[in-house]
Amino acid sequence: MKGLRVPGFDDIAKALKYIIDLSLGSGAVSGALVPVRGPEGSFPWILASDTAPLEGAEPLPPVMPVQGARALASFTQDPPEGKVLAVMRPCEARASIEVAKLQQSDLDGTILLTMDCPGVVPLADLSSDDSLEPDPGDPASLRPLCRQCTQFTAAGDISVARSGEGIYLLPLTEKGRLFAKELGFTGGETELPEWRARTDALIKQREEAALESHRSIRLEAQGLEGLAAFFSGCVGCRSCRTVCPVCYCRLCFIDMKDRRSSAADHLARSASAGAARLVTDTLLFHIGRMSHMSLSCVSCGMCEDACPSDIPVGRLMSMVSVGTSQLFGYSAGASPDDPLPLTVFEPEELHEYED
Amino acid sequence: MAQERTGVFVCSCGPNIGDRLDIERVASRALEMEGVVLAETYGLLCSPKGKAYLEERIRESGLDRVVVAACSPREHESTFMAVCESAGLNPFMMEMANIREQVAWVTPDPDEATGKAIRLVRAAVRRIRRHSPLRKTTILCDPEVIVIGGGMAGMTASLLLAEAGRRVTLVERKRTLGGSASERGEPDVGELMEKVLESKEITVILGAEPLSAAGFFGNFIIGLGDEHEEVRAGSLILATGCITGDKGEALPSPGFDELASMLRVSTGTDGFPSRKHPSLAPFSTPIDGIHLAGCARGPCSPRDAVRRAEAAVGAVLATLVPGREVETEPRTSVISATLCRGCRMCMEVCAYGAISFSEEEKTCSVNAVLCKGCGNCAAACPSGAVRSLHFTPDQIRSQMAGALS
Repeated sequence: MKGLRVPGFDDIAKALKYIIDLSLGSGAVSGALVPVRGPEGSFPWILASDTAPLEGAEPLPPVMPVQGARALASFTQDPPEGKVLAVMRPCEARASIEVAKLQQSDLDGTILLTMDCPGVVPLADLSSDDSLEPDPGDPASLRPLCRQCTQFTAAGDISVARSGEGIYLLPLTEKGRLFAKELGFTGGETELPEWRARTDALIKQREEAALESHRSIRLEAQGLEGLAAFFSGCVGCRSCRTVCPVCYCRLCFIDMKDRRSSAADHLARSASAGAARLVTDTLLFHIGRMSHMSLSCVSCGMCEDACPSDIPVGRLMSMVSVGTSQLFGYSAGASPDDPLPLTVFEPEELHEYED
Repeated sequence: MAQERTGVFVCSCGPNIGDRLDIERVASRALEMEGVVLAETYGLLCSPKGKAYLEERIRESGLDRVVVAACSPREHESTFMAVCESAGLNPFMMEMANIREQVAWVTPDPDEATGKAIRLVRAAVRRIRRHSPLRKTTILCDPEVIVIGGGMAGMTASLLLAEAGRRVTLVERKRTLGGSASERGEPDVGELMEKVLESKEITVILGAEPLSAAGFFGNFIIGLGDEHEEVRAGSLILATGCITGDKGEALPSPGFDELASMLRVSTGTDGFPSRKHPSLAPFSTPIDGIHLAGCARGPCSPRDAVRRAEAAVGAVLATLVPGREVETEPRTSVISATLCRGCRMCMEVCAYGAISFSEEEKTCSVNAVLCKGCGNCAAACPSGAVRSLHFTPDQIRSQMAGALS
C-alpha cells in the first residue's frame, strides 16, 4: 500500500479536519457528513455544507453513539445532488457499502473517507468518566469488539494513515484517487514502512484476541441449553436490532402476527412437556437475527454497546459471522462488486453439510 | 375456527403401501385428528373406480377438506385435484401425504412405517385446516407470432403464417432481410423478400434483436431495446440460422446462447437448442410455444430450411388456435408493499421475470400472470414481505407442528 503525503500534519484527526475543510472550501464536495462535539459530552453526526459548523468537528470521537452507516443511509436512498464526503471509521464505511448493496442507499455521489481507527470506548464507560480516550495499545480501554478488530484501516474510497512522523492519504478506489487529485494531492505515492509494520503487528495481536474470544464465546453458548443461558438476561428490548447499521426490514420477522401461536397451541405444548416457558421468542429472535444478519455483519459492536443487560451479543454475532463469511468466501462491505451470497446460485457447494 | 369437515383417504396403492404398513391403523388414528369427520382406506384411489368413489364420498359427506395419503404429489396431485373439482370442491382444499415414496418404499419396519405415516397424515390434516380456496383464472392466448431471424427460413415461415391469416412480427438484426441465403445469392431470395415486405400481415423490424423476454405460451412479451416498442405474441419461431466455426464445424448464430437463456430454452453440447421430442416434436423446443425453423436447429440445406419452416408453422397453427385460453397459476407470490424495502433480492432469484421494481414507490411487485409460484422469492426475501399463496408461514408451521407432535 502506498500513500500521498499530507504535508504539515502529524496527527490523523487534525489532518482529517484539514481535508474536510479543503474539500468543502474548494467545492470538491457540497456536503460533509462528520461527527461533532455536542452538548453534554454527546457526539452527533452533522451534514455540513459550510466550513463554519465544522469548528467542533470530531472525526474521531471517543465513542460511537450512532453508527455512521445509519447516518449516511438516512439521507442517501437516492444519490445526493453533488458530492458528499462521509468521514467515518472503517467499520462504518464497510457497513455503508453493505447497506448500499442491499439497495437501501445509493453511494454514487458519496466519497467514503476513513482513517486508521484507534477504536472506541464503551458508551457506558464514557458516561461515568467523560475524559476517557481509546488507546489501541491498551485493549482494556476499548469496547470488546474493537479489541479483536483486524479491519481498522484502509476501508472505503480513501483512507488517512500515519506512518512515522508523516500523515498520508491512501487512495483505495478510482473514486478515491480522483478525489485526492481534485484536492491537489498529486505528488508521487510513497511506501509506508512504519505504518505497514505497526499495522501488521496489531492485526496479528488482534487476530489472536479474536480467536480467543471466539473460543470462549463458543464454549459459553454451546448448544440450545448454552444459548438459552447466554441470553437468560435478555430483557427483549430489541436495542441490538435498533442500533444495527445493516438491519433494515420495516417489520421484523419476530414482530409479525402470523408468527404467534394460538392459546391452544401454547396449552398443547405445556401439556406435552409439563410447562412451557413464556415469553417464547427470546432465542428465536437472537437465532433469527444471527441467521439474517451474520453475512452482513461488520463486527462494529453497536449491538453489544446498546445491550442494557451486558450480554456479549456482538461477540457472539461476530463469531457466527466469521463462520458464515468463510463458508461463502464473502466479506461484508469489503467491495461493492462482490455479490451478496444469497443472490448467487452455485450448482455445487456446501457438500460438507451433506450426510 | 368453524367446524371443518375433513375427509382422510388412505390409499393402499395395490400392494405398494398396504403390504408395508397398517393402513387401517393410519385411518383409525386419522379419525381422532382435529376436524376429521371421515377416514377410510381404499385399494387404488387413482383408478377410474377409485376416483369415482372419492368424488362420491366428497359429495355425500359434504367434505370441505380432503387429505389423500398415497403416493408422491408429483404423481397424482393433479389427478386428485381434478376429482375434487368435479365433486364441487375447490381443488386447493386437497392435500396429499406421501406415504409411498417417503414411507412404504423406504421404511422396512412396518411399525415404524405406520407411525411415520400417521405423522405425515397429521401434518397434512393440520395444514389443510389453514388452507383457503384459490381461484384459477384463464387468459386468452394472443394469436400473433414473432419470427426471429429474417433469412430464408424466417421469411418462409412468416409468409406461411400470413397466408393462414396470422399477424406476424419479423425481427431481423441486420439492416436487410435475406440472411445467409442472399449472401450466397440463392435464386429465390429476392422474390421472398418482396412478398414479405408487401404482406399486410407481416411487420418487419430491421436492425433489432430481442433484449428481454417474459411470458409463456399464449402471451410472450419481447423487448427490442429502447428504440422499439415491446412486441407481444402467443408463439415464437426461432429462425436464427447458423454459422461455420474455425474448424469447419456448425455453430449457432452469435448471440444465440443469450437468446436461448433469455427464453429458458435449453441447449445441447453443440450449442443448438434441445427439442421437445426427437421424433414427435422435432421442430419445437421444450418450452411451450417456442418453435424452430431452418438452421437454428442445426445446419441444413436451403430446401430443408424451407421444409423446417413449414413444419414450425404447422406446429404453431396446431397449438396456437385463436380463442384458446391458458390457465394461470393460482399459487402465486404476493409482495406486501408495506413490508418491502426494495432490496430486489427477489428479482435476482425469479426465473420468470415476474417481479418488477417501482422506482417511485421503491418497492417490488409480482405480475400474477407471469408468476409460476415456485416460491424462490419468498425464500429469498430478507424482510418477510413476500408471501407464497398456498405456502403461507401459517400453513408451513401447522404442517411442521403436525409432523412433530
